[in-house]
Amino acid sequence: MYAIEVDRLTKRFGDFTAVDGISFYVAKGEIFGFLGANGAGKSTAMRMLCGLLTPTSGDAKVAGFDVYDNPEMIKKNIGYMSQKFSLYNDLTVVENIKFWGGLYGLDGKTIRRKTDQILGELDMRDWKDSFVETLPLGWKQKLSFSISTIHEPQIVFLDEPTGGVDPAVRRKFWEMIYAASERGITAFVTTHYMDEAEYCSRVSIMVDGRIRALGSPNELKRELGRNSMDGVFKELARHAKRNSD
Amino acid sequence: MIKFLAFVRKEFIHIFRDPRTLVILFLMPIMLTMLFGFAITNDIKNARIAVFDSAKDSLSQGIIERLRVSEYFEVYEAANSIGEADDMLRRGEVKAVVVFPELLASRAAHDGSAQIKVLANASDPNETVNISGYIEAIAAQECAEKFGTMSDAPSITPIPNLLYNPQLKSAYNFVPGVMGLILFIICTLMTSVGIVREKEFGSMEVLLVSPVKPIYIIISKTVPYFVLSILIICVILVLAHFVLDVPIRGNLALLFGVSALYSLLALTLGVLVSTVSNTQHTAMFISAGFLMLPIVLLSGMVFPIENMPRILQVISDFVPAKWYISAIRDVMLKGGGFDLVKKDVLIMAVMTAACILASLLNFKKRMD
Repeated sequence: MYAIEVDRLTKRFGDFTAVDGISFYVAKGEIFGFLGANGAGKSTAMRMLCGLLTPTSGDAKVAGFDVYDNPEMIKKNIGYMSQKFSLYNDLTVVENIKFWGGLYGLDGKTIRRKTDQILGELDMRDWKDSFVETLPLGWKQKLSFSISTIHEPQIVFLDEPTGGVDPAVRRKFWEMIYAASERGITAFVTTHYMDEAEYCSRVSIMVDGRIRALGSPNELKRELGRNSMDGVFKELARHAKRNSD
Repeated sequence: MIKFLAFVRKEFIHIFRDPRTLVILFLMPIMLTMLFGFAITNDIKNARIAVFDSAKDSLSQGIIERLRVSEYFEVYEAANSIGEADDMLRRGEVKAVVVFPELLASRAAHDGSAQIKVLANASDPNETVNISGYIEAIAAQECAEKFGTMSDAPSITPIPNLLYNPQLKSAYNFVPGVMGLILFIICTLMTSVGIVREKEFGSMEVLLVSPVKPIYIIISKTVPYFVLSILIICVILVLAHFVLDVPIRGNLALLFGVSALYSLLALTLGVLVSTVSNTQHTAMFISAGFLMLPIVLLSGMVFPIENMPRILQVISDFVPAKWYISAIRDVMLKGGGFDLVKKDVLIMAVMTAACILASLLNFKKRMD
């Protein structure tokens, strides 16, 4: 069974086709890079997979559940982290963990155990009662990632998780994604950084609502005769008609 | 349930960590209650009054005729007994009843002065003072015409007999108004801003991806404000009663029941505002500019509604605070029971249902 199966998934807003019949699958434990320029339809596709938007047509299964019939079961089995919002600034580190843990229905005992584990892994014990506002961005994002997987979801959706962070911190962040992937958690990542695309097991590149390329980074580079993902992306995005959201 | 509690606790943390929120929540009600203890004068136009004429002589009939044609009053009906007059007042059909004693004309002629009684519903004391003043002036005109020049004429003094608020304290009148305003600010303004903040920060999306149903997200955002608004009603009532000596005559349970219904209405209005705004600024603008101003101006809190142009009176019917303030005046100052406020309660209940329906429709539209 695949973690995510998508078959001719389409979303139209009036006359505008944001996502135009995309098909792909993501294997369990895979780190799947979901690339595309702004306005290519990435976030619309991701919102459909997270159960936030109902597709116009096509089929999709996430964690084995159908997006039409079972969005509630999908929500229980996925984690979600976005760059735009990581955590509540006016809550402390521990309070944030408690809140999001509670939101996913974890009981008090599990939350305490998880809190201890997360603080240990991130080496943040001394910071547990600090307001999140005071943490450096990189720490926030690592904490945010840990919290998005607090309920051990089958799949974690990461929407540009490393925006605005320097490369060294980004590498550390990717180590966490790898560790999660080794625990069997599938990662579905969107990113603007092409060096990060190289870290993915497979990537898809969306242009104007369609998937224009799909495969491992090495396959894509060979196919298009480029030596970096950056080159691959530029080659494909060159023909894009849409510019932005 | 765990999810729900986690959420409500988080909301309380947000509230108690933000100094500005705390100021609005606790300092503002106290300040407004004290500030509005001072009187504001208002003019009267077309106030409905009734007359009870025991004299039935030329003087009393003359005064009644003048009252009838004056632009200040609308003589609603002649009462046949004091009891009937009192009923009319109680039901709110009239603002005042003018009682002419027997032998008014001959007393005035012999003694050079006479008294008429003005029974008034003094839970709106500014208005009562004005009504008495206008009646006195009109009676004086009639006397002057009947008995010659103004200076020799016998004087007719209206003696206000104030029901429900014998001391004529305007603070009495404003406490319900302040309650209507404060509950609105807390429930509508702060709730809508609170919900829209989550949208603006992007946390709403993360919350929506969680297994918590959207409806519970909304409910848990409103619960803390609901709890706080009940607490604040207590603060205002204690302050009004012990500092401003405002009597609390009615049933406390009914008072809180009506307040809870109004808070609920204000909360659903806040949710509705949040469904149409994308930024905290918009939410604030709609709540403060578009909704709060009418509460101050059109709810009867400061200016008597019956003095307004017809169009404004119609608009005022759509201001939720109007019904709440009228109900609270009836319960708190007149000691009325449920019968007296059932129309207000019904209207507020219908408004609440309408807001919930509109919010759900809006929310659905946004999700697709």
